[in-house]
Amino acid sequence: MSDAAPLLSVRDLSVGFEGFDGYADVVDGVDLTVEHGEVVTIAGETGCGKSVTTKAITGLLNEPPAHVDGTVEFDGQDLRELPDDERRELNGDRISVIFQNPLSSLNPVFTIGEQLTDTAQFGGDGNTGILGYFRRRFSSTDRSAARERVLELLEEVRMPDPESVMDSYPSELSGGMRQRAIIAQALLNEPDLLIADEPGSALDVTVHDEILSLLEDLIAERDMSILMITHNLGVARRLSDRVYIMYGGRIAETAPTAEIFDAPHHPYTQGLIASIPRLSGESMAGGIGGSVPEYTDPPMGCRFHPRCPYADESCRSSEPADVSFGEQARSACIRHSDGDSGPVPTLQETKRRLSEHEPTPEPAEGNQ
Amino acid sequence: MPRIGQILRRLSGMTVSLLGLSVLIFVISRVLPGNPARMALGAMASDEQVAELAAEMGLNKPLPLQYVDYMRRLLVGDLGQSLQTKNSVAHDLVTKFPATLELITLAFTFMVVFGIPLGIIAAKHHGGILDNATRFFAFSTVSVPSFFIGIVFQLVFGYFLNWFPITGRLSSAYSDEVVRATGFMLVDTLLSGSVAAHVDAWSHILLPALALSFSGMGQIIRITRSSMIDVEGQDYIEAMRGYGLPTWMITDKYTLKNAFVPTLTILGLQYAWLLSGAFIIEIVYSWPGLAKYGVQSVLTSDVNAVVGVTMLVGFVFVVVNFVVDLLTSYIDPRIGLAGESA
Ligand SMILES: Nc1ncnc2c1ncn2[C@@H]1O[C@H](COP(=O)(O)OP(=O)(O)O)[C@@H](O)[C@H]1O
Ligand SMILES: [Mg+2]
Repeated sequence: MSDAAPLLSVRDLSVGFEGFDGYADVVDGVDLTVEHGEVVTIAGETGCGKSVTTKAITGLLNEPPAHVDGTVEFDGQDLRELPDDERRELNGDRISVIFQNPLSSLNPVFTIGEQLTDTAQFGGDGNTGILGYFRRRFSSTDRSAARERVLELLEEVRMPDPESVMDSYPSELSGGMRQRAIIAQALLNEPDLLIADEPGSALDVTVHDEILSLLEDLIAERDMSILMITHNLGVARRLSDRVYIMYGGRIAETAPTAEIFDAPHHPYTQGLIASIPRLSGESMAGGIGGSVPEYTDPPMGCRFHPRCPYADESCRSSEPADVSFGEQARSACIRHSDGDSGPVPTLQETKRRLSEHEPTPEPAEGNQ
Repeated sequence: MPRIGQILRRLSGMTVSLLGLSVLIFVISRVLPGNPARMALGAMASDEQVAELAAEMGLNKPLPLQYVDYMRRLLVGDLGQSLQTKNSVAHDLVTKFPATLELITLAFTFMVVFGIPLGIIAAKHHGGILDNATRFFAFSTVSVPSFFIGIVFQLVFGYFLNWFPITGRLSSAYSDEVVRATGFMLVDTLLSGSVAAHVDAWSHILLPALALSFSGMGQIIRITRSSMIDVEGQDYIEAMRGYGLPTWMITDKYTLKNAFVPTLTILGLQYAWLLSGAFIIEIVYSWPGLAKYGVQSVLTSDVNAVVGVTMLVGFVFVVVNFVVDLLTSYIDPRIGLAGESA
C-alpha cells in the first residue's frame, strides 16, 4: 500500500479571504496525504483553519472572496483543474462530507426522507438537466429504490425508528438523531473518501461518544478512507491511524497516532497533550496561554511563537522548516535544528515552561 | 404542519379580530360629524322630518343598543340601506366588489409571476446588470405613487400608442351579450362564449392591473432576492452542494422553499395594500368597483355604506392574514400559527 499513490494528496494549499478588515491569510502552505483505507485526523484548536482546509479540498469555497492556491490531487486527478461539473460529480459520488454542525446542516423545511432520498438519487449528479431530473424524479422505481437505500443507511447508522424519521422534519429530532441522519446522508453514495468535520462534537458527551463508536464501527465495516477533523486529541487517538496537528493555518507536526502521543516533538503538540490530564498524568492549569492568531495580521516567522515558551528572536524572524523524524513523521520548529533545550524539548519541560509562560500580547508586533 | 386544532384556534382568533373590527368601525361611524338623517334628506327638509328619519334609523337609541341592533342585522347579511343609492348596502357591495377583487387579484398575480422569478434571477447574478436593473425598478416604483404610473400608462399605451382602452371594464358594444353571472368580467365573457368580448375585457384590465402591481412588485423582487442570497449562505445549502446535487435543483427546490417564507409575509401585506391602492387606480381608470362607491358614501355621510365598505375591506385583510399564516406554517414546520406558542 505504501508504494501506491495516495488517495488524497494536498500540496502547498493556501486559502485567504478578502474581507472588510483586509485580507485574511488563513491556510498557509498545507501538505497532507490520505492513503487508501487510512483514517487521518487533523487536530488543532478551534479557529486553526481545519474547516477551511476541508472546504478547499471539497471545492466548497466561493472564489472570490476566497483565494485558493496549491494542488488537491484525488486518485491522481488534480481537483482544482477539473471543470465545475466534473468536480460536482466527484462530490457525493466519491468524496463525501459530514459537515460540522448537525443542527444547521439539514434543511429545516424538508423532511429527512425528502432530503436524503434526493441525495441518494441525485447526489454526485451535478449535470442532470431538468428533463433528466423529471424523468427520474417521477420514475417510481428510481424513487423507491433511492428510498430503500436511505432506509438501509438509516438502519446502518442505528437510527431509532427509521420509517418515522423519514417523515420527520429536522426540528422534530434530537441532536444525536440529526447527526446520525447526516452521517447516513454522507454515506449514501458509498464515498471512497469521507471527510468528517468534528462529527458529534456539538452534542453532549454521551451522545458524542455514541457517535464516535458508530464511526469506529463504520470504519471497521466499510472500505473507505477518512479525513477526520477534530479539536479533541482524545478523538484523534481513538479513531485515527495518523494525525496532523494544525496551528494557525499551518501543519505543525504529523506522525502516526501512536508516535505522536508517545513522543510529541512540536511544542504546540506537547502543549495540547499537556493540557489533557488523562494523557499527561497531572493536569496543567490553564492550558496553553493566549489564543489563535488573527489571520488578517498573523505573527511573523513561526505563527505559534507568541504563545510558545521556547520562542526567541529567531522564531520571529524566520519560518520554521519541516524536520523529518522517520518515514511518516515531521515537525516544523526551529528548536529541532538549533536549541538550547536540545533538538526536541521534553513534554515535562514544555509543561513546566507553559505554566509560567506569559504569551506575547499579539498586536504588539507585525504592525510595525 | 398545521393541525386541525391549531387551525380552529386560529379561526376563533380571526372571529375575535372581526368582532373587534366591527366595534371599532361602528363607533367611528357614529361619532362622525354631521347628522346622517339630515344628510340623507338634504338641506330643505324640516327638523321634524329629520327627527322622524333619525328615529326610523335608530339613531336616537343609546350606542350599545344601536350596536346590538346592528350586529343582529349584520349576522343575517343585512347592512342596512344606502342613503345614496337607496339599495341595500349588501346588494351594492355584491355588485361593486367583484370588479375590485378581479383587479387586485390580477395585479397580485402579476406581482407573483413576475416578481418572484425576477428576484431569483437577480439573486443568482447578484451584482450584475439585472440585479441593478431590478434595484432601480424597485426603488422607482416604491417612490412614485401608483396613480402617476397609472396616468403615464394611459398616456403612453392608451393615448399615444392607442393599444388599450383607458377606462371601464368592457366596451359598450359587448355589454349586451355578456351575462353578469359571477361579476368577474374575465369569467363572464368566457361564459358568454364570446372570444372577442373576452379579449376586450383583457385589454381593459391589463393597464390598471399592471399599474397597480408595480409598487408591490419591486418589493417582492427585492425581498425574494435578499432572502435567496441569505439562504444560499446557509450550512444546509452548502451541504447539498457538497453532496453534488444539481445546481438548479439546489436553487429551485432547496433554496426557494426556505426563501419563500419572508416573501410570503410580504405578499400577504401586499394583497391588503393592493386594496387601498385599487381605490386610487379605480378612480384613474373609471373602474366601476368599490372605490367610487366608497368615496361617494364618505362624502355624503352615507353611514351604512361607509360601514359596509370598511367592514368588507377589514374582512379581506383578516382573511388574507389567516391564509398567509396557514401557508407559512405549512411551508416551515418550525413556525406555529401566529398566536400559538408552539
Ligand atoms: N468564509 C470565510 N471568510 C472569512 N474568514 C473565514 C471564512 N471561513 C473561515 N474564516 C476564518 O478562518 C479561520 C479558521 O476557521 P475554521 O477553518 O472554521 O477553523 P476551525 O479550525 O475551527 O475549523 C477563522 O478565523 C475564521 O474566521
Ligand atoms: Mg471547524
